[in-house]
Amino acid sequence: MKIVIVGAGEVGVHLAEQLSKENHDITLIEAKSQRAQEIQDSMDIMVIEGNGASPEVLKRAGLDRCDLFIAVTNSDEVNMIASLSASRYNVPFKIARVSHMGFYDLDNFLGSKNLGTDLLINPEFECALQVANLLKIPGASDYAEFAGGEVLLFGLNIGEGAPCLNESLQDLRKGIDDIHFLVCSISRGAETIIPKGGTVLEQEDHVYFIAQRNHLDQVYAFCGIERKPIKRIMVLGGSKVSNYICQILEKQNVRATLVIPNEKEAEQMAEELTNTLIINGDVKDFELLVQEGLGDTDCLLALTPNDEDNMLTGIFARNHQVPHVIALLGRLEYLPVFNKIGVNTSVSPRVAVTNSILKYARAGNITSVATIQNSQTEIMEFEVADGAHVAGHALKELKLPKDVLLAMVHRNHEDFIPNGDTTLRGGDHVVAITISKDHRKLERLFT
Amino acid sequence: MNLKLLNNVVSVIVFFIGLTQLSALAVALWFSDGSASSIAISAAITMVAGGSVFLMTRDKKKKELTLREGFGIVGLSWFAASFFGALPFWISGAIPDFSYAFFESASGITTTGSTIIRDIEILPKGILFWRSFLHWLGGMGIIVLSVAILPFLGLGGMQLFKAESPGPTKDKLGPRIQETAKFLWFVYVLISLACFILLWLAGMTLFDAACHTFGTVATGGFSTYNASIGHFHSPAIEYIIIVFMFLCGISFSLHYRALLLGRPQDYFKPTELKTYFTIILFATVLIYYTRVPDQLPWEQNFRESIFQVISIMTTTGYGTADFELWHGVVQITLLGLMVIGGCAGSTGGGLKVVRIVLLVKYLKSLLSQQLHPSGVFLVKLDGKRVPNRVIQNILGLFLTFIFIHMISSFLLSAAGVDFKTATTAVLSCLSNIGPGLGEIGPTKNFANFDAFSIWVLIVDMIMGRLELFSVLMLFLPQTWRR
Repeated sequence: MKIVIVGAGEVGVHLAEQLSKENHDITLIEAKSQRAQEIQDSMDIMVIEGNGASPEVLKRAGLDRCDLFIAVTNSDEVNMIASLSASRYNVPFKIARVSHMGFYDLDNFLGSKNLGTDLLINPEFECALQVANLLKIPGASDYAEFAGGEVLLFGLNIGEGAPCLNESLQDLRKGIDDIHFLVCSISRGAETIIPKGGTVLEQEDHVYFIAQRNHLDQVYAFCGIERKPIKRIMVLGGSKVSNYICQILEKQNVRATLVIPNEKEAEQMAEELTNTLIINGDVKDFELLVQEGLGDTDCLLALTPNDEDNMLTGIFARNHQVPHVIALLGRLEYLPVFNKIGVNTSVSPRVAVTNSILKYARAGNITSVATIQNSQTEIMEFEVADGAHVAGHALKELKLPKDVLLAMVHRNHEDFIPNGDTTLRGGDHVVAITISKDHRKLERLFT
Repeated sequence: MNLKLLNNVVSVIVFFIGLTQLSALAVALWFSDGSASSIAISAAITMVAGGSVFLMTRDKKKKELTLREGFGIVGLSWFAASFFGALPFWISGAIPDFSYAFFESASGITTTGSTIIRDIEILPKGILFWRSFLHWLGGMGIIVLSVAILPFLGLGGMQLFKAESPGPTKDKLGPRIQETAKFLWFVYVLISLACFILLWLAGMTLFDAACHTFGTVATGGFSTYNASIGHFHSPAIEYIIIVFMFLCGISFSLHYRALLLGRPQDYFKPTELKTYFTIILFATVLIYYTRVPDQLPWEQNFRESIFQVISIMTTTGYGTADFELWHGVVQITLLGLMVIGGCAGSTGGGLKVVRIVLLVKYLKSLLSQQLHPSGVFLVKLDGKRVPNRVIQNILGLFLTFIFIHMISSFLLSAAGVDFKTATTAVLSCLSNIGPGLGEIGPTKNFANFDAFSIWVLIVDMIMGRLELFSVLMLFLPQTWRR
């Protein structure tokens, strides 16, 4: 696929990296010559120096032969003009990063339809949504939705002396009637294991589940942990992500405490939020955090732009018995450290937005994709085509690749966990787990 | 301060007051009640005075109005208008003492509605008409009217408009201030017409309907009968007046947007309006409840309760019952309503509901700040931040209100007025209501005050109408410096 990306910021480069790894042809447009040069030297993609809104630059990028156009500069205006130009070149799919929420209003005369874009995307908002989803599953490290939101993927730690220890998954499964979840991947140290029937879980494991939304309690019971809803939340940092997450929380009638170091930003935030307690103070002023009730908090969201601050406050919160910590992570290299210090999970706008954009880059019959942090595991949702290789036979008769696990089947608005006797049909949605890098192999199975 | 320009503008307004006296002259001639000649003389004096000063101060070079002249013009215009408005009362002999005539005129034009006339029913119809017509002129504001119809005020109009129209923030209805003033007067006239027609249909004579329309729509309170609205013994009339008093206690720019721009849903948005409504509801229920032991028919109890509540809250001052005879808690409640007053941008007086709303919100934020010393608490109204200087302004206004109230009450007491009468008379005048308690209860009048007290109250009324600052500015030396 030929893909043109405008803007070599964090999001743009991360996207280019991911897409280039998946064998797409990337052309990246960047206005700053130094940045353009740096990327040209370090990545195997074409870099064009110039303003992404300029017709001449877009022409040079080869828009007439482009399949996917992604405008992700820091400027809404440039992105909008660029994707408007792309629509004139009849690019089949155009994505624009737009931060101003007013443009998301579909009735707006400058809404996505009239701008010639197929998808408006706001990295900070995507990230906030991810945080909001994570808050719904206390303790979860990852979150992804499949089958239109009915099937969830998430990772949990195993509680002390949990019922799931010391027995093979096969045996455990027999002990639960009417099972609605599946262990789909296990992180053990640096290793990623796709479980088989004989796998035995260990205390230190971080386990990923695929489960039906309405039966999450079953999973918590399995892990031997209590599912306490998150009610008291403290948010650190005055970023856009904090703003969006507080707005989402306000809609859910959750009153968060938001600590912002910058006075101007704090006032600005106080103007936009109505039901959030806003504190103007240093996020590393631990005495202040305790004053404002850190000890009673169910979850700390460390969302400052500074990774080190997030780490430090995370450690402090864990020491104050705050059960859950979610941190914003800029440098992905820090991820293992974050996990080690007890931060449940980390989020990053650019990863969030890359994940949502990748969906569109992997066309064909893949409908959703999720990757598990810090591992090679990918979870994908396929639509089974009529007459596909997998259709019409019981699964045990099929020779599926070794590193593939079929976790959930969504058929006629119902979800079930497939077993050896299940026969897939055309139109089924299948959630599959793999650590294989080659999606094509999988894709071929389903088409 | 450009005194020439100031006199020039004020003289135009005086001339205009003279012109409007011709309407009273027409009424006097129609009823041939004997007051025509004195009204004609006062109209002539007013127009000649205004006209000659205008000619003397005319300046070929156009000068811009600054903020200073704006305040000066507004403050002086109201005193001048009250002065010339008093001439018909004085010359006709209806009120022989000029101080009292001035009081009656100021009470009219500031829409206070306090009277010093013991028996108004014996006055000639032309004079009665002029009394009520003063209400109507002052209700929407003589300056707003001047801005609307005098093109040459257009440029500096905003300064004048700011100084006169009530409320902590002013909204413009169009790009030009003259347009805004026109729209406001248009809505005002429209509502007046509706009220007039309904009152006439409900059985008033054309003359009574007109006078009571002026009193209702301007939230003034002058009647043509000693027993006020109670004279008619007509529930229909009372309900019509209840509705129109209520409507005129609401911002006229809101009426404009809701009625003329076809956005009636706007009525349900502002916090001020919700609060206004809630206060009226609660006060009515309270009063109704305290009067249950009197064993009145429930409809009469309800009607009388809501009438007095709305009449006091909108600072109209019409009466259908004597609330002096009611429970003490009711009197205190009514005193509270006097301080609160109508909504900003309405014809009502008082401190305005929105200011009370903002003050309560400010107090709440102060308390929260105690709990969270480094918390950020902003005062917001309808989702929008209210700048600190607006809050400071309101606090200042409150303090000033209290100071002026104390000083004026002191002066009245010094003149021998009893405590209850003195304090409520000052409150009633500062909030432009009309009746008070004690010697000036709803069935009584201000005729017993001596000239000294009368002058104190005159200043209070005009200060109250212009929300204190515009008048206080006149006493500030800086205002007059060149």
